[in-house]
Amino acid sequence: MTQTTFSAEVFQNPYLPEQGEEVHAIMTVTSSGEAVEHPGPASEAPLLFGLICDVSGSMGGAKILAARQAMTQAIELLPPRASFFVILGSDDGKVLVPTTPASEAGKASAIAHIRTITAQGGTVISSWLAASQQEFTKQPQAIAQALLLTDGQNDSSDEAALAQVLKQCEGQFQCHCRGVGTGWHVKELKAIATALLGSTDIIPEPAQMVADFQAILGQAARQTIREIKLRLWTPSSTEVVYCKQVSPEIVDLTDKALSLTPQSRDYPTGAWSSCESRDYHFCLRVQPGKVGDEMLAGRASLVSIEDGVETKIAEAKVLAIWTDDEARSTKIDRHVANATGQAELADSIQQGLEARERGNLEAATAKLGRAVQLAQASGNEATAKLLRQIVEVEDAASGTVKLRRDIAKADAMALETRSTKTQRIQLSSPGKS
Amino acid sequence: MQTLQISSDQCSHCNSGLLAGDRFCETCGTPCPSPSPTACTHCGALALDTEGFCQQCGLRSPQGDEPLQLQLSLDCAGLSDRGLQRYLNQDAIAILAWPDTQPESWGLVVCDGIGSSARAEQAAQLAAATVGESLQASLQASFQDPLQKQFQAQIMLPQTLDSLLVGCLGRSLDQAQQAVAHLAQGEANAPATTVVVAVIRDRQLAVGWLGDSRAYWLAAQGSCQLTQDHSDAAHRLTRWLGADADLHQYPPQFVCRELLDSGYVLLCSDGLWNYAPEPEQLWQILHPPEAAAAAADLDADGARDCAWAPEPDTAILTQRLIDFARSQGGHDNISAVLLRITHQSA
Repeated sequence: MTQTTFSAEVFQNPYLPEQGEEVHAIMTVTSSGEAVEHPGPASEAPLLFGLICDVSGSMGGAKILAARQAMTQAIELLPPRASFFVILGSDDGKVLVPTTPASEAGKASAIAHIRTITAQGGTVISSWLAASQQEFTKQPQAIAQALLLTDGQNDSSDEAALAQVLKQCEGQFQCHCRGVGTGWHVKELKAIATALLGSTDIIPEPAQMVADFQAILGQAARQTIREIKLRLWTPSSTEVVYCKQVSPEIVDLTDKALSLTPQSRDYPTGAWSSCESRDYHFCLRVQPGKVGDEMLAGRASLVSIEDGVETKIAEAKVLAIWTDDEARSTKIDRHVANATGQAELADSIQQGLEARERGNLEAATAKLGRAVQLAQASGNEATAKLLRQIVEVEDAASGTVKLRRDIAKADAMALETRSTKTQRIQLSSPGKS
Repeated sequence: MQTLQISSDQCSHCNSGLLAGDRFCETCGTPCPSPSPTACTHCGALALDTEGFCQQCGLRSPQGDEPLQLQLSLDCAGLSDRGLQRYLNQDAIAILAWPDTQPESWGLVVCDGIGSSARAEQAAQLAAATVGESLQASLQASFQDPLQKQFQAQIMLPQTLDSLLVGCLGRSLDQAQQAVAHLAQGEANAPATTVVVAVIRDRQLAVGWLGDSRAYWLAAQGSCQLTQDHSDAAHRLTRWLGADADLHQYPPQFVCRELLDSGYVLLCSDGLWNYAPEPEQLWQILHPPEAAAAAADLDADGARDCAWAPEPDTAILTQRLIDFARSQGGHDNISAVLLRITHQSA
């Protein structure tokens, strides 16, 4: 058993010029687990894992065979503290295996059912999510995680229903989305994953499904803290311009704020493992003070919720200090600079790929060239590698690139899907001065 | 025995010293009276947090405008002041005395909470209190030891007394290190503080320190700085107390000295010595040349004696030191603890 402790640290340049009103700060939150001999009560929440598998007609052949195999492996990997269920998705969401403990018998029975899956029908994702939510209500105290696998686009008539179901599911469970092949829509799956605090990725070949499912299951099994909220207090005159997770991946949380009082609001961060680290970027607009004034522009705390009881587990402060010393106010904190750079990298890729779709090759080359430059400068090798599939790099430092002629659709989709994965800078040890 | 003075606040029930921010007395558990609410100097809301930030408008109001003043006799006083620029006083001071023992003994402590660390004021207060309590107990015990007879008979060799005093100082700093390290809550900038502590027994002075708070000997016959700063060329500290300090690798330093003349032992934070680093400068503040000259005019034959007496109250002298630093900008917290040593034969 492990007991998890959280720490929060803020990186910022608190100095603002006269009349300065925009405060930027990066908060790094790190969880670390320590094995304890006598664990306290409920130090590890139970896990309920939902497998949502597209079984529409297009999944026939190699894909459905791979899906069966991947789901079988995933179920075998479930830890003993877990329960699970399986939803088959087509024109509606059918419960193949209702919520079952991950015992040997439970697993064997579920795997026997999975062998019978065949592919037919359409793609109405809202009904799959609604069926999943029904299952999750059976264990409200569990860490609720789902994996949704699909290969195609959602039925166009489902748009309004999907938006409504997503609203109902938000905060109820987290859902990772995986698109197999290239017939699915990146934006569509990203919208679902973002709403449900999950990741999105492409599985270009059915054969790669097993490894991907294993990675997701491994991650889910490590998660031991059901729900943590990021509570941001600000002074009465301060406005939150945005609040984003910026590492390991960019997730804009601004619109997910749940207002508690006019001065404080909660952002959901989902479940946590006992060994991970995430960065958040706050941009606050404050009422400018006089030179020499110091302001507490924000206080960010992490609040864990267990059995409805809120516990503050870490806190960090965002400051604003007005100065007439330009050398101080013009300095940009390197953590903030890195986060801003990674956001621009993701935007450049997005805009570059969209320009390419529209046939505006000049704009596409410029944007993707900028992306190559930013990826190189920040050491984001994973994104740089994906970019090299789309452009021929002549000089990364200056962003001089040429669009490749024959780009595999899977490569463009992989770049679009993973463009929001960010690279952190190395943290140095703090000094005493 | 006189009560150890750590801060101006004392428990209403048992008279134990209270630290700023204490909600209950550590000794008897009596709840402390909540401090009278202070209004935000910007918006007027009665909503200041412990660091002076307003929970309404966010702006910071200065805290602790009342300087901390300690005095045990006309010969020994301490003063700690927020200065003009800082919003908090993160220095802490303590004075100890064992008036029942002969010869007279004194303990002086100055701690400067490190600004880049979390809750530095707590680190400084706790370090000063722990060092003080530890010395109070260990020296009291040693005075009651059979060795006390040696003390009183003054047959103990100065070296033996030095090693006894340094032993007590070392243990008090180890205990302060444990206490301050315990304040850490896993943050990267764990609470940390400098410390300088002096014990004076008869003519023997022993000083121990970590960081850049200093001890000086100031005298008409020659002043000197007793400590060497634990800091590098960029004024970054190289030794301190706190969870991220390693006292095995970076231990405290000690210095002993026999005080043969009349003069002052001064302990101070960098908020003072930044403006007057040289011992002669500090001596000049305590004894301005014009005062000495005026005294000399009165009686040319006994100039030295006259310049020395009548001696002003050390509380007035510490105020003079703090006023000097404030007049120079007062950019940091300013603390000074002063003990006068008088030798009739000087």
